[in-house]
Amino acid sequence: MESESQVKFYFGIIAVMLAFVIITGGFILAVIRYQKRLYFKQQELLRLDAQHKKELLLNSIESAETERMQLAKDIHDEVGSIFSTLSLSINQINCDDPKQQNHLITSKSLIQSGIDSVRRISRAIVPFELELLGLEQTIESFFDTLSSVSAIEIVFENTAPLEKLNTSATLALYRIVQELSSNCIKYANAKNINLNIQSDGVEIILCYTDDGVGTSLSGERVTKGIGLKNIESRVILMNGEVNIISQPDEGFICEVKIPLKNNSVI
Amino acid sequence: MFEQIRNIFFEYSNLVILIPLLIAAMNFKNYTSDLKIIFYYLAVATVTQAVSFAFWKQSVNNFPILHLYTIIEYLLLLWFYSVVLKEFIPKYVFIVLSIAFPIFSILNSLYIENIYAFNTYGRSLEALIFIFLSISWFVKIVAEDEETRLMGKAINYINSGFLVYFAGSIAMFSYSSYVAQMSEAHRINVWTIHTVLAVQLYILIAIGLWKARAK
Repeated sequence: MESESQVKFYFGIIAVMLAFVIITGGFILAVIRYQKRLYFKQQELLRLDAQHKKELLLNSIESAETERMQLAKDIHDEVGSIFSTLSLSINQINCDDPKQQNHLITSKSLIQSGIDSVRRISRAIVPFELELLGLEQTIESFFDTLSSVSAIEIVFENTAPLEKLNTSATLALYRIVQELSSNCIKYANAKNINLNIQSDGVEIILCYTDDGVGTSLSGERVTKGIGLKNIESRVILMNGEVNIISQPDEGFICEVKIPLKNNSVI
Repeated sequence: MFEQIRNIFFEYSNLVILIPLLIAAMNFKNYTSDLKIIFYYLAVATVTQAVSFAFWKQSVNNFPILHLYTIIEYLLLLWFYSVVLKEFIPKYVFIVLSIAFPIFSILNSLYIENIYAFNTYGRSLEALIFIFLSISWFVKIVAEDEETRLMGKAINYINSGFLVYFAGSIAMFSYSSYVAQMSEAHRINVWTIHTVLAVQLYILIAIGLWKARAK
C-alpha cells in the first residue's frame, strides 16, 4: 500500500513531466512563430524590392520611348519641314538654260530623297502607324520594308486579338519583333524568318524563328546582349516569360508568353 | 478499459521506432551527414530495444544494457549536435563533452550506482546536456535570422523531438528511485508518459527524415 506522500509524489512527478513538456512545446511554438514572422517580413521585403526594380525598369523604358518620340517628332517636323519648304522654293525657280535645268532636276530629286529619308528614319524610331493601323499591320509593313532591303523571306501569321492590347503592350510587342528582326539582320545571316502570334485566351504567345547561324546559350547564366536584355525587360514588365532556344548553326527560336488575365496589358 | 489500452500501447509502442528507421534506411544515400547519424542512432536504439525486450520477456534484468546504451546514445547524439551546431558552439566543447560524460558514466556504473538498477545520474546528466544542445539549435537559428521557414527543415523536427523528450523525461530520470517505489499501476502510468514522449520523438524524427527525402 502506498503512503500519502508516495501518492503525492506520483502526482507531483506527472505534473512536473507535463509542465516541462508544455514549457518546451511553448518555447518551440514561440520560436516557430518568430521565424514565420521573420520569413514573411523577408518575403515582403523581397516583393517590395522586386516591385521597386520593376518600377525603375518601367520608368527607364518609358523615358526611352518618350525621348525616341521627341527625336522622331523633331526630325519629322523640323528637318522634314525644311525639306518641304526647300522643295516649294526650288519649284518656284524657272530656268531656260538646259544645263541649269539638269542641276534643278538633280536638286529636286535629292530633296525628295531627303524627304523620304526623314520619313523613313522617323518611322523607324517611332512607328506612328501603330496607333492608326494597329500592331498586325504595322508588323506587316515593317516586314515588307525589311524584305525589300534584304533577301530574307519572311512569313508572318497572326491569330491573336492584338487590337485588345493597350498602347504600351502593343509598343512593347512591336519593339520585341523589331529587336529580334534587327538582331537577325545584323548577326544571323538567315534566309527565312517565321513569326507566329497566337492566343489561347489565357495568354498571347509570340513565336519567332529564323534559320540563321544561331548562338551558343550553354550554361545557366548566358551573357546576353543589350537587345535580348531589352526583350527580357519588356516581357518582365508585362508579367510574361521569354524562352530562347538556340545552338550554333541551328537557328534561333524565341518564344514570348504574355498572360492576358489579371494583367495590365489589356 | 484504460488499463487495457495503456498496456497495449505500452507493449507495442516500441514498434514506432521502425517507421523512422525504415524511412532512413530507404533514403540513406540521399541524406546529409547529420541525418546519417540519426540513422545510426535509430539502428542502435532499435537493436537495444529488441534486446531489452527479449531480456524483459525472459525476466532477466536488462538495466546493464541501459547503462551501456546511455553511453552509445550519448556519443551518437553528441556527434549529431557537433555537426548541426558546428559554427555555433566551439569544437573543444564537444571534445570535452565526448570525453567527460563517458568517463563519468562508466565510473558511475562501476562505483556509484548499481549496474542492475536505473542509472539516474547518467540519464539525468545526459538529458540536461541534450536540453542545452537542442535549445542551442533554436538560439542559433533565431540569432542567425535564417530565411528558411523553421518547420521546413528536417533538423527542426528532429531537434524539437529531442527537446520535448529530454525535458519531459528528466524529472522521471532524476526521481527514478522514487518511481521504483510506487505501486505498479502508478509506476506504469509514469513510464507510459515516458513512452508517449519517446513515441512523439520517433514520429518527429520520421517527419523530419521524410521531409528531407522529399527534397
